[in-house]
This record gives sequence, structure tokens and C-alpha cells, in this order.
Amino acid sequence: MGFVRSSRRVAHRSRLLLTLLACTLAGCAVFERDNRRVLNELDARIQPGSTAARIALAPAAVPVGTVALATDMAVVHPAAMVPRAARDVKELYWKPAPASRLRAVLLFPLKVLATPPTFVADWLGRSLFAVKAEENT
Amino acid sequence: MLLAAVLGGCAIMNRDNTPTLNLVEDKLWPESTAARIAVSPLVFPVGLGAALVDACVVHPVSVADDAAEITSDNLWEDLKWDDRYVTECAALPWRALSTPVLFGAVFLTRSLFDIPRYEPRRDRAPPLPENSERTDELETARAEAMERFRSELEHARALLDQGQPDAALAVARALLGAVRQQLRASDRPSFRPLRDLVRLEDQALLVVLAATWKSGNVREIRVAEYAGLVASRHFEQIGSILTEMSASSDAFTRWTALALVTAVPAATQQPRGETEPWPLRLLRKGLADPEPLVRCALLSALAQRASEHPVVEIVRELRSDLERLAAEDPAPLIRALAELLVRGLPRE
Repeated sequence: MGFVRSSRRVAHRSRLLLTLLACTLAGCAVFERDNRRVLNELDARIQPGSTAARIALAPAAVPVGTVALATDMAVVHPAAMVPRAARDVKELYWKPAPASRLRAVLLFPLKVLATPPTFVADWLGRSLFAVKAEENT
Repeated sequence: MLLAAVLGGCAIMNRDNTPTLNLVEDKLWPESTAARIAVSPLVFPVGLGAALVDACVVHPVSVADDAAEITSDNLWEDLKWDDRYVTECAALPWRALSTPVLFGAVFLTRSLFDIPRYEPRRDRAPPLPENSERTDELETARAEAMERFRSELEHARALLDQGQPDAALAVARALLGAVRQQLRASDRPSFRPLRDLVRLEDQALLVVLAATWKSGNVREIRVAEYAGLVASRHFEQIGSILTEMSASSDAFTRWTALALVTAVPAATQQPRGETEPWPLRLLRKGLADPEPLVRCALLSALAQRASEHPVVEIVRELRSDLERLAAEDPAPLIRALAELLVRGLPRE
């Protein structure tokens, strides 16, 4: 019984550590200004002109900003990275390339198998880390 | 504790970090060998005690101000309240939480190891008095460098006007490299030559842009490098360069000019005079470009950012041109894209 309780505690602590790590890593993505869409919008719309106004607004701005930052970290930025991850996977596996029919048939099931985990890994990486936005050409 | 005591030896290996031990050494350690042998039983424990006091009290207290300065410089300096008010407010709790953590880590590291004193950011480049008549070597060297840069810039512009874009490009690129090197060496944004340097950098960048496309190397133009100029004080200058590019016979050159405009859609919101602002004029011209790929790329670039307020305003301004494209363009994709943009306009 004691063993079961202690393994549950270990599992709970591991989950807690992983969550904390993910939250910390997710902070890396929002260190880039381009990845803070909600906060940037609020910054553009809320610009108190004087120090007195800033101090007066602060009790509201701190929780609003925290919620906006959390929204950017957990929702907006990851959602924005879905099409990018899809594009990366498409570029990696599904871009038309000159290849023989035999090669194409042989590789097709491998590509199908590899697509979901690659997409998830790419999406997680882009969501958690500050990957620079692609430049226009 | 033993490990900390052993590691603590690293800091106290430096004489500068052991004032108490130095005092014991100066006052209690005699010159002659016989005297040293005689006093050793007393001096050694006193010296050991002095070393411990230095390691555990004196040296840590002496590095506390460095730890405070480092924490302040890294967490509480250069807060951009003017244009990032909400972001700074959101960061406040994290800064508050991180302050004791960073202070503790820096304090512990500096207490244990021998690390040179920290120079606070505000002390790094002492400001020259604004109306000072005294000129030192640094001020003279900066003035000479600025003069050299300005004459190089004029030389590059003259080469461009004389129809020598390759030579102009070489001079302008060398100038840009030298200016950026000077910028990296200067870290006080409020220092007047630095603002002049930043303006010079922009002007050199304009010459590089014009010379690059005139020498036929338009594919080397990276939109991200020049997009900032579109929304800057050099709005009209870059406008004249892009207007020239948009009249080129090469479709890629015409598209590159449009790409620079679409990269900064807010630039189209410039206050109007009697004539239409040049970004809108170029976009309107782009929609009527003879090359279908240019029209398609422009519509696609606008569609990708169709939810942004400046792009909505652009589409509203160009509504009649888009409606004409949606009805009359020979390419089905272009008709579809144009219709998509018009239909996506919010109701007024």
C-alpha cells in the first residue's frame, strides 16, 4: 500500500515538473515580440499618457496583461503555429519531387506513418520555442 | 557545508577578497623565521578564523551591491512603458518573483567564486556634457568618423546618379558595414552621434537598395531588411525608389517593390496631401500589372493579412479596382482572390 502511495506521489510530482517545464519553455516563445499577438494588440490600444494614468490603470492592467500573456502562450501562439507546422510537414514529406513510381509507392506508407508525429513535434517546437518568423521573398 | 567551504576557497584565493586575513598577515606575521616559528601556534588559528570570516561574512557582504546592481540592470532597467504598457504590466509579477531568485543566485556565485567587480550600465559610458566646450579624443574621433561616413554616402549617391550602380553598391555596402560596426561599439542610444549614426545607416540602406536593383541584382533584395524604411522618416525617399522599380520592365522587380509596400501596410495610412499616397498608388498599379503572376502575388499577400486593420483599409480604398478584377480578369484564380478580398470587407 505504501509502495502504491509513493509511486502515485512520484507520478504526481513528475506530472507537476513536466507542466512546470512546459510552462517555462512556453515562456521562451513569448519572449519574441511577434509571438505575443494579444499583448501587442493591447499595447497598441492602451497607452496611458502620464505616469499618474499608468499607476491608476496598473491594478487592472496587471491581471489583464497576465491573462493576455497566458492566452498568447497557451492558445493564440500554439494555434497560429498549426498552419506553420502543417506547411513544414508538407515541405518535408509531401512536396512533389521527381521520383520513380516504385520509390513513391514504397515511401508512401512511411510518410503516412511519419506525418502525425512530425507534425506534433514541429508544432510543439514552434509553440514552445522562439522560432524566428520566415522572411518574405 | 564542507563543499561550500571548499568552493568558498575560490573567492578567497584572491588577496583583494580577504581584507581580514590581510590585516592578520600585516600585523601578526613577523619577518624573521625564528619569530614566525614562535608565534605560529597563535597566528595559525587566528589566521584560519580570519579566512573564515572573509569567506563567510566580509566577501559576501562586499558582493551584495554587485548582486543588487546585476538584478536591477537585468530585470528593472529599460522598461518600455511608452509603447508596451500592458506587456510591462504583465511582466511585473514575473519580474518580482525573479528578483529574489536572481539576486540569490548571483549573490551566491559571487560569494563563492572570484568574479571581477560588476560595472553598472549607467556607469559604462559617462555622458559628455551637452554644452561642453571641452572636446576629448573620443568626441574628435566620432566627429571625424561621421564626416568620413557622410562623404562616403555622398560619393555613393554621386556614383548612382552618374549611372554606375555597381560602384555605388560597393561603396554603399562598405559604408553600411562601417556604420553598423560603429553602432555596435556605441551603447548609449541617447548619445547624439548615435542618433546621427542610425540616420546615416538608413540613408546608406536606401542607396544600397537603389544600387542593388539598378545593377540588376534585384533577387538579392531581402524585403525584411528594407521594410522598416517604408514606415520611417525616409518614407518619401524610399517611395521614389519603389516608384522607379514599379516602372521596370522586369516583373520580379515590380513584384519586389510591391512586396516592400505590403510588408508594412500601416505605411499606407500616411496623412494625405492633394495626391494619393505613393503606397496606394503603387498597389493600384500592381493590381493592373500586365503580368498575371504579379497581380496574383499581390492579391495573395493582401489576403494573408486580410484580418489586419491597415490591410482592411487598403482593400476599402482599392475596392473599385478589386471589383473590376473580380469581374474582368482573365485568370480565374485572380478573379477568385479579388472577390474573396472584397467579400471579406466588414460592413461599414
